[in-house]
Amino acid sequence: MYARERASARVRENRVRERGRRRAREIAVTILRVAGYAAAIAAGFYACGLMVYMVAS
Amino acid sequence: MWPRLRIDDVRSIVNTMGAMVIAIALAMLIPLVAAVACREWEPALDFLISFGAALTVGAAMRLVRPRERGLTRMQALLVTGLAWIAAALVSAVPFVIGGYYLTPFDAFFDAISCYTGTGMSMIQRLSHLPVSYGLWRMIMLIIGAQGIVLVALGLGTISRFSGAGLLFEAEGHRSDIMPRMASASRSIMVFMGAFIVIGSVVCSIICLALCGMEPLRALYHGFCLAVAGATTGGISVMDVGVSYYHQPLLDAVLMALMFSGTFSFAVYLRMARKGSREFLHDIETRMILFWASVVLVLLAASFAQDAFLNGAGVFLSKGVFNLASAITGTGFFTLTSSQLTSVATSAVLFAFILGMVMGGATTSTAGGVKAIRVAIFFKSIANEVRRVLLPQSARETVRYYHLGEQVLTPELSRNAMLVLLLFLVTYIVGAMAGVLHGLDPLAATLESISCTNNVGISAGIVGPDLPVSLKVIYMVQMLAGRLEFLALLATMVSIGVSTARGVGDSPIGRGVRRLVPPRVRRAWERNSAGSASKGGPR
Repeated sequence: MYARERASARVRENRVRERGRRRAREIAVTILRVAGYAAAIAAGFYACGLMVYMVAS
Repeated sequence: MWPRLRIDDVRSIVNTMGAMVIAIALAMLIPLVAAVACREWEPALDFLISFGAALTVGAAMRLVRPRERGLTRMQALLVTGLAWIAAALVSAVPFVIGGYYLTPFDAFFDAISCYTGTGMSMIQRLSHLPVSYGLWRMIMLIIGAQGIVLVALGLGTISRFSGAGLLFEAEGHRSDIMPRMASASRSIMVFMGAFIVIGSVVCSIICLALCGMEPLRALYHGFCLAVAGATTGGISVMDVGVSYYHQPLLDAVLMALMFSGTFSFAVYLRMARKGSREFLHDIETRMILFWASVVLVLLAASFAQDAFLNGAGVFLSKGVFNLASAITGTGFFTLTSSQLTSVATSAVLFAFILGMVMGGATTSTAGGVKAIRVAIFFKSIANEVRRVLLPQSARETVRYYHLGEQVLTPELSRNAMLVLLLFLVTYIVGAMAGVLHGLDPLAATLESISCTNNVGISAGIVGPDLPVSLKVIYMVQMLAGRLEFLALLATMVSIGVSTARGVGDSPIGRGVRRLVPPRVRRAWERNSAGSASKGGPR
């Protein structure tokens, strides 16, 4: 009985740890993705600005 | 009838604010350690004294025990409003001791500017500021960008209570999407921390490799630039701002950091679970990008007609970069104030003003009206026009995408319009105050919008010689913009009403009342009894 309880507690712990790991991985990927989007927006802003300026002048 | 503060309210407010003052005191340990590490002994002593004073005051405030746990709605709003003022007062102490400002009031102004992420400064000898003081300014930016209450919630210095959701909202965040606020605030801190770390590494490498700085100096400058960019605070460590570096690559990295700080962190959090669609379809993201494109076209046309600021290189470094800074509410500026007011045409100045008007996203580090309100405003107008054109029996639901599919309700439209109107009135009042102080109308408008939207771009008006009355107006504008009026107005009204009633009930007030003719007094009492019974239960 005691061994079974201990085993189920270990399973629960593993599940929580796995969920935490997955969440951390998701957040890390999102941070990189946001950094990529921000860099793309900055580059696009420069490129569009230059294009419009060329047309306007 | 306006509610009046009771002694129990004051106890709860003082107790909760005590926890926040302690949190600020603990934050002072970072510059203290930095001062010791850099062998800046005088600043270390300043921070030690300030830490001791703040801790004592905070502990004394915690000794005031409230009768009931949790905060009511009114108490929560007052805590939010007062916490920002108290934090600025406590944080200004090291600067006052260090003597970096002409007056203590200037130090208080600067602390408010740092916490609200505005970035306007009255500091003396900025380029020669010790590292510990520079770090302290950056820490204030980080705390302010997250929201003082949010930081306190995340660090657990204040526990969850009934009014926590309201505190969260009063600082410009959305509480309905965050059932577990403490963990959500920690997640936001993780995002912010990650942007700062990535930005620090890249900026430090650029400072080291391209600007020819020593490694430690490059690290310090890189960190400060990353913090000022990601928190959209725009505070610089050099007198001349980011122009000091003369590096287009650094400008581009800072622009990416500014954009990452101006979009909604709540959307990033949701993006982690649901994918990029959350970001790309979000109404706020689209509104910011749309507004940026419109003003970019206007600015390009203005620069093309400018006789002095011409050339593609000048447009990119002094036009596009500054516009991104204005749109994201950061306040980095590569034009000097004299160039902005004397060399650039009014059209360029107007384009920068338009860029600042909207502000960033909700739950971001940027202040201002917020993109979602402007988007709702436009959607409401479009809906009204469509309603007029459609048959009377037609019923149409207007939807938009922000943290999931949302329905545009009349209440949402009304709230957005109300806040828009409040911002507009504040812009006008600030500009009028500037004009009354003898400023140029366009420059006064720029300064007023810059303060209200926590941007920090200045036409050179804000400085130590600014009249005190205008300093007070700008400080109120900065706080109003950051707290989105609700908390600040509630604080001002509650304190005003309570003080007026307190004076009225005091022996002096009773004496004054006796001077009023009995007939008039009876009419007053009748009126106040009537209004009280109208508001009471039937």
